[in-house]
Order: sequence, then C-alpha cells, then structure tokens
Amino acid sequence: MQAAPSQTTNLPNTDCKDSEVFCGPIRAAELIRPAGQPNVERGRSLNWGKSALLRYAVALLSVEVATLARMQLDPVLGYHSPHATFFLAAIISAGIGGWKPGLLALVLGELVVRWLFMPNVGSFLVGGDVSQWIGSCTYFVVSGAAIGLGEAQRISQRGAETALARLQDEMSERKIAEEERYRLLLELEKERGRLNGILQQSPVGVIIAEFPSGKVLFGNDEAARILRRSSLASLHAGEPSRHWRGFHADGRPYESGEWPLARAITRGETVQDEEIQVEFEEGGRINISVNAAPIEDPEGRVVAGIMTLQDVTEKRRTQARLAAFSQLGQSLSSVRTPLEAARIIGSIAEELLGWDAFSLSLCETEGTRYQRILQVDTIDGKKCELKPYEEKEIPSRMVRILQTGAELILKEEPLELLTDCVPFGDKARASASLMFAPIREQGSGLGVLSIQSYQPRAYDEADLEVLQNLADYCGGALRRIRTEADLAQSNERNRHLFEEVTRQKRQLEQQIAERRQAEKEVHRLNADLERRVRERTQELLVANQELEAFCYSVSHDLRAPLRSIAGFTQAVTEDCGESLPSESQQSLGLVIQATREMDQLIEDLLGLSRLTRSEMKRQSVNLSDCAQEIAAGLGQRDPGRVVEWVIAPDVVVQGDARLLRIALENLLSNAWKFSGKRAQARIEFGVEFQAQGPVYFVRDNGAGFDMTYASRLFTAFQRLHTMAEFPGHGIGLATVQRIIHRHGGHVWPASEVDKGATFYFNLPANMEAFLYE
Amino acid sequence: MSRKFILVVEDNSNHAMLARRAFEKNKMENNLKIVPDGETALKFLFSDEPKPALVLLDLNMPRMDGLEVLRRLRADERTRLVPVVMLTSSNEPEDRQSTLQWGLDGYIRKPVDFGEFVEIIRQLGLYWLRMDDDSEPRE
Repeated sequence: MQAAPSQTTNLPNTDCKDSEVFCGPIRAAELIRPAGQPNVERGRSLNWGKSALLRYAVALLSVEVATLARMQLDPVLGYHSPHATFFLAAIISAGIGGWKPGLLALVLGELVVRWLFMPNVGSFLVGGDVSQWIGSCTYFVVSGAAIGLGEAQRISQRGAETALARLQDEMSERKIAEEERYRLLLELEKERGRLNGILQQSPVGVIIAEFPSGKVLFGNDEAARILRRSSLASLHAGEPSRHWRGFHADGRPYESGEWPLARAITRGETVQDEEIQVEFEEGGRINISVNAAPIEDPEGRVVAGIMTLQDVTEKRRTQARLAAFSQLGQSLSSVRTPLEAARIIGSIAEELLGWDAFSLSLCETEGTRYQRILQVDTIDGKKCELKPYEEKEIPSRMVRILQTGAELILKEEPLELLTDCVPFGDKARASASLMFAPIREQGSGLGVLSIQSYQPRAYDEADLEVLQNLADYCGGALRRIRTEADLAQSNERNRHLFEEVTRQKRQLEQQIAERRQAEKEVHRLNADLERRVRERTQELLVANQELEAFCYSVSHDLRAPLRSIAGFTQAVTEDCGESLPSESQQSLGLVIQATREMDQLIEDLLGLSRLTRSEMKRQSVNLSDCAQEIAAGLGQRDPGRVVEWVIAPDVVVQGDARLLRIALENLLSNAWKFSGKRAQARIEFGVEFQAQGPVYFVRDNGAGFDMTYASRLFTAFQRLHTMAEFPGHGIGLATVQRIIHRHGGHVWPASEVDKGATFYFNLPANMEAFLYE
Repeated sequence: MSRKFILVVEDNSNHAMLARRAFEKNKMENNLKIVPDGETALKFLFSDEPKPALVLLDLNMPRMDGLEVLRRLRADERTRLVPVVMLTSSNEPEDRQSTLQWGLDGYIRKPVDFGEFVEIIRQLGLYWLRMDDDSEPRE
C-alpha cells in the first residue's frame, strides 16, 4: 500500500502513464478510507490449565484420594509415615494443576495428616515427637521440591511453547495478512470500481491532483468532456494549458497557480463555487463553476487536491438570455423606428451570441422590395454601420427563409462567399458562420434578421433559437412601431384634419367676413357703378340725343334755310329771269347749284352718322364679287373711260356685307375718281398675306397725294384736292375708316404724288372683335 | 259753296311762302289755307269750318310738333278721317316709321329743289283736290 504518508511524500514528480493515473484511485481510495487495523484474533487451543477451578478440584480430589488411601494403609502403618500418600497427592496436583493446586494439596495433605494420621488425632498440633516433625518437614520439602520442579519444568515448557506459538503465530499472521491483503485488494478494487464508477458517473467533472507536484491523477469523463479533451492525463493543476485559457468574471485571465485546484493543493484552500470562463484554443467559450478542496491524511497533511467542475455555460447563457430578453423587452417597448429596434436587437445579439456582421432587412408589404434597415459589418476590426439601402428584388435566400424559417449555416475552411448570401459590407471576407431568422408578425414575414461570424462554428442550433427569439421580439416591436406609427399618423392626420378644419373654418369665417365686406363694397361699387352707369348712360343718352338733335338740326335746320335759298333763287329766276342781266342769271344758277351740293353734303353726313348707329350683321362676304359689281357700276356711269380692272378672285372675309360694300365702294370710286386723268388707268383690288394676316388693298395709278397730309385723309370734310380737281365732300375715307374700325381692323394709305395711291385695310379673321357690339 | 282745300301747317314763313308759290304755280292757290303752328291748325280743324281735303303737316315745329298734332287729330272723332301727309326736312327712316304708326296717309321729304317741290304739290293737288270731284265742278 503506497498510501503510507512517508511514501507519498517521497513520490518523485514524474510523468505518469495512464495506468498510473488509474492506480491513483486505489491510493485515493486508501486515502479516503481510513486505514484499517489488522483485526485478526490470535486464537489459542483450549487446555486444562485453563480451568483453575478444575485444577483446584483435582488438588482437592487428590488430597481426598490420598486420605482414603492412607486410611486404608493406616492399619499397616499406623502412625508411621503418615504423609506417604500425600506426597503423591501433592505431586499429582502440582503436576496436573500447577504449583498452586500442588501447594494447596500439600497444605491440605499436611492438615489431614495432622488431624487424622498423627498422634493427637483430632488436633492439628504437632506433639513433641521429633519424627513427626521430621516427617512433616520431609513431606513439605519433598513435596515442595516436587512441586517446584514440576513448576519449573512447566515454566520452561511454557516458554518453549510460547516461542513456538509465537512462531506459529507469526507464520499464520503473515498468511492471514496476505489473505487479508488480497481480500482488501479485491475490496479496494471493487471500491475503486465503485468509486471510479461514482466519479465517472458523477454529473460534475472531477479532477484530482497530487501534492505537491500538482500532477493530475484522475479526471473523470465529465471533466474531460467539459474541457473538451479526450484525456486529462497531461494536465497539471498549477500550470496553464495550451488548450484553453481561463478568465475571471471580470475578464482578468487566470495566472499560473491561480486555478482553484492549484490553490487547494498548495495553500490548502477550499474553493467554493468559483466561476471561470474558459476560452478554448480552437474557439468557443464556456463557463464553469468550480469547487476545490485539499485532501489530507489522518495527520492533517495535504496529500492531494480535488476539484469538481460544472459546465454552467448554458445556465449562464440562459440567465444572460433571460436578462437580455427582459432588457430587450423593455428597450424595444420604447423604440420609435425600425432602425432603433434594429440597433437594440443588434446589441443584444452581440451580447448573447456575438457577431461580426449584422443585418436586419424588412420587406415591403407587397413583398416585392426590401429595405435594409440596419447593416453592420466589421471592417478593420471596427463595427461599422453601413448605409442602408433599398433593393428591388428580394434575394432568393431571404425568400426561402421567410417561407421555411431560420437557417444556420456553418462553413468549413476554405470559406467561399455564397453568391446569394446577404452581402455585407466587407465582401472580401466571407462569413464562416451565418444565421438567418425570419422576422414574422402574425404569420406574415416582415423581414430577415441575420448575424454572421467570421469564426467557423461560432453558432449552434441553440444560438439559432436565440436569434429566432430575437427576431420574434423584433417582429413584435415592429408591429408595435407600425401600429403606433399608424396611430400617430392617424392622430397626426386627425390633428391635421382638425387644424385644417379649424383653419378652414377660420378662413371661411374670414372669407365670409371678407365676402360680406366685399359684398358691401360690391354693393357700394355697384351702386356707385350703377349710379355712374346711369349718369354715364344719361350722359350718353344726352349726348346721343344731342347727336340726334344735331343730326336733326343738320338735316332739318340746315336744310330749311337751304331750301329757302334754293326756292327763292328759283323764284327770282322765274319771276324776272329775262330782265336780269345774263351774268346775274348765271349767278342765280350757281346759287341753286350750290344748294344742291350742300343738300348732298348734308345727306352724306347723315349717312355717316347712320353707319355708327346701324346694327352689324356678321356673315361671309365675297369682296371679289363685290368689287366686280362696283366696277361694273362705275363703268356704266362713265362708259367713256378706259380702265384696267385687276380684281383678285375669291377674296372672302367675315363681316357686315352692307358696310363692307360701302367701304369698298368708297375706295374703288376714289380710285376711279383719282385715276380719271390717266389715259391708261389701272385699278387693282387684291390681298397680300403678311405676318399679321391678310391685308386687302385697293390700288390706283392716279394722282396720288403727299403722305405728309395722310393723317388728314380720314377726317370728315378734309380734302387734299380742290373741288375743281376732283369733286367730292371729303367724307368717303372717313366712312371707310369708320367701317373698317367697326370691324376691328385698320386702314392706312401709301402714296406719292402722281404715282397713284394704295389703300390698305385688314379685317380680323375671326371677327370676334367687332367693335360697337 | 266752299271748295276743296289743302291745309298746310308750316311754322317756317319762308317755307310757307314757297308752298304758296308752289300752289300758285299749279294754279291751286284758292285751294290753299296755311296756318303757322299746330295749335292754330287744331283750333281750325276742331271748329265748324269745313274740313280740308288734306292736311300737309310739317313735322318739326316749335311747341306742338307735327306728330302731336297728328296724334290729336286721330284721337278726335271729328278729325279722325282727315287725310294727313307729313312734310318734313328729315329723311330719317325712324321718323318716317314713327309717324306712319300714327295713321299717316303720306310722308313727303321736303326737297331743297323748288322745281321738285312744285311737282310734288301738283301731284298732291291732282290726287286730293281733283280726284272724284264730281259734285264740285271745276272752275
């Protein structure tokens, strides 16, 4: 048994094999179980000497027998050799029962002898008989010697026996011990098996390391599993492992010797529920809860350390998730925009799962476009929010995720960028671990939440579940945001509506007031206007009446004296025509002539005024036909003249046929009149098309006029030629102008003296601008 | 026995003289009676004096104009059927229309030319004084 402390203290600190490791438990069992004392009874065979009572009974019996024998011999011996038989009795008693029964037999024999077989029977007093004394002495001496001898022999025999027994004892003891050891070994083996079983079956990881080397002697499967090793053999309690690193809760790494087992061994410290975060070399982190204690031998010396460890990663994670989700719920309840929600989801996902890239995209309700609400990628080790953008087409992956649910994609090296993966900012780098979770809300897919890591195998199914939870939270929050937004919008709309209504009401009221004011003003203006119109109308009426009166006076009052002149001149001519000198008769004729001219003048003037007053009728007028007829008329009036007429065909205008005919008549007869002195007279009616529209003209090659006086042409009674040159009243062009003006047109001349004259006029095509209508 | 006559209502004395002369020229001076204004004309016509064969009425007269005289004549039973011809300087169609409206029997524009006027009077005389004049033998 190597459990002896002296041995353990001297154990060399060498690497031990697995087998040695597994011999550990035996020792450990030994250490744990108190060392049992050899408990085998040293069994001794039963003999007489063992019963003192018997031995003393033998003494008494031998004394009895000796007495009886002596009494038989008494008739022979008498008082002679009274002790004879008692010698024997003493010796037998001593022989059988040892020296104490021998001595008892001796004394009893002496007393019996003295009472029965010596003189003074019935008394123990020895008489004076010397022989008696001698006999007694002899008896005592001999018997005593015999007893002593026997005892001496017995003592020596007992010594030999004891030595033998001891030898035998030793031999059997060793054997027993061997057996015992074997049994113990079996038992220990069983115990070890049990213990091993217990330790192996233990739901917690167990590691035992020896003192003082710290070498790990035992580690159960759970410990190996937790620490992700197939074997814990090469571990050392106090030395750092290259497979993992430990961190305190505050993130400080565990120094060498700081591990609980090391502390238990070296300082005898008992560690309870210490939590360590273990980061594995190959990736991944776990949280373990550790208990450690020293193992002491009965003398209180530390011989080893034991450590139990439990993987509390899931527990911590669950706690963290619970806390995170609780916090998430609170945080999300106050967000106002999907972006805020996305940021919160992102930070929680970072806390719970960790990521290198994060994206949250939302589809539109129609599902034809989607928008990245938030996209964060790690660029040069920093998390950068990328500019959100909108895309027209939803990638097939997203469609699939929306339809079939969350996906976990773990890619092995070498990583390749998925063609249809959600493109993150740093496209040069492919995510090794990708998770996608649909954001649903009442069964309909709103969007996709994705986190990705550049580390291979960064996530597992549990993480995907967490992500889906986050996505669900997000969906709820988005619904709330939408609902609130809708509500806010509708509130806002209502508010707007209310404001609008109020504003419009105010506006309406104002408008009503303004309208009233305006109405008042209109009334006032109308009244004013009406008054003014009345006044003006009155004025106009008066003016018209005045004009009428004027025309009347022209036609009547002017004519009346004219008529008198003409009449009386005629009377004088008739009464005394012959008596008057012929010169006077000629003068009277001129007077009458003048009256006729004046009458015509008055008639023309009245005609002009009638033009203004007459009503216009709009119709198509063929000016070419008109001109032809007028030309024919003029030709008939003066058949002697030779005039070349050039009349453009089919000149049709809109206007009042009667008035236009009068205008044309005036122009053509002017042309006729002023070309009268030309041998080769030429009168032209035509149309020129200019930018502003058609321009009609009447041209002659007659006398023409000086354009300096052109402005006077159109004034009534203004003439540029003497009556002797060309007869006329100077009212024709005034009439023309008045007619053209009434049609909304203009008339203008172009002429040079002796080079003929051209009168142009235009008429608005649509004739909407009829004046005076 | 009174003979048929034409009553000329003319405020312009010159014109009245010209009218008389025109009648003379047509040898009808005895068939002529001239009054200077409307009131006089009405007084005469409403009197027991014999009625004229024709009233030549100047339209434009001071105070009561020809139109008013006509209206009153037509309104009165005694003169309702007296023929009236309006004599005026005006050639305005409106004037002519409005006077015809009032039961005028003719409308004559006073010509400036005296010869014309004489001819007009001759025709009037022929029509109103001589036509159907069976009972009155011509002198």
